Amino acid sequence: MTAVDPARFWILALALGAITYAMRLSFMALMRRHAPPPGLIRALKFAPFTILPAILAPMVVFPASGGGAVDPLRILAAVAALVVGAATRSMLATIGAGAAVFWGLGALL
Amino acid sequence: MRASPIPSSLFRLGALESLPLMFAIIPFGIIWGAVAAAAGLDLLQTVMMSVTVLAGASQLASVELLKSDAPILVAVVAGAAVNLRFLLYSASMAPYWRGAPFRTQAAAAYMLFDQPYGLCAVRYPRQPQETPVERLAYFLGSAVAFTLVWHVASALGWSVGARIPMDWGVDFIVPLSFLAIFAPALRDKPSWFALIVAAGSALLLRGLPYGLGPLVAAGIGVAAGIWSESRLAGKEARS
Repeated sequence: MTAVDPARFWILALALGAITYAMRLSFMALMRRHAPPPGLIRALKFAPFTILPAILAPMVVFPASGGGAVDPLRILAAVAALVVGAATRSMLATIGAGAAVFWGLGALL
Repeated sequence: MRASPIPSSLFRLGALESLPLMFAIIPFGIIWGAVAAAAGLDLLQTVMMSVTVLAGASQLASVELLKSDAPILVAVVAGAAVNLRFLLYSASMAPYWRGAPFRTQAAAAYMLFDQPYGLCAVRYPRQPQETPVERLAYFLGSAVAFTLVWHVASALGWSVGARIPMDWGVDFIVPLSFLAIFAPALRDKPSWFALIVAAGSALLLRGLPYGLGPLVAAGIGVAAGIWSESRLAGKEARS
């Protein structure tokens, strides 16, 4: 196995690090002087219920490990976690329900 | 007498409430370490890339590309595309942190990744009485806990390396940790509606380049949530 060339590695680590930090800091820097637009706070109430599902939905429905093939077990496990989590309002119950369906039911099938 | 806890207790609370999510960070950190070792990175490089970037998915994607002799620019752009969501996280946290010392905000922004972001995005609207400094204390408690565990797990993964089995559906862990953050916080119909619209849009828009699909989908979901909320408010006002 050939190792990654050190010069190439360090350029990647530093450049990606700088770009990533700039994205993270962007709106803190912007809002240091400019007030957030009205309505943003109202919109932010929905942020966790839209950003995170928008990231995870394609991961669940078209998993990279299956070459993008649909795996019904993953969808079922995610829906179980969602419903149980919302009903119990418990983080551990959410994890338990998703894991039970995905690994438990998955082992039985 | 103050009703709200002082920041140091909020720092501890943030760390404490992060513990259930460590089930996701530990295997993910181990995978990063193992993949880095397989790519020929030494332990210093493996840890230092987490220090400079601190975003696991982008580290995995860009190092895989570097290993396959892709040009550096391609690896950097691919990694940055995976991290584009941090723009939304930044816009989402900035109004809540605004007014706290900028240095503290800048330090916190360094650790603005999925799990502490998600915990805070759920918590802040529920605790409107908290000051920006108190909010930052909670965030920092959570973020520092995740970061420390991540570094230990990735060093462990680097040492154990290729002996870790990968075929047990490990890639379901990250989606499950996201679900654990927002599912328990789902209360009202507009939030459910926003969620379904965002997830559906993300599936339809997954062909968009540079990881833009989830960003656009989240925007559509937020608009749907606001629309649904005003519709409900209108109904209540009329009845």
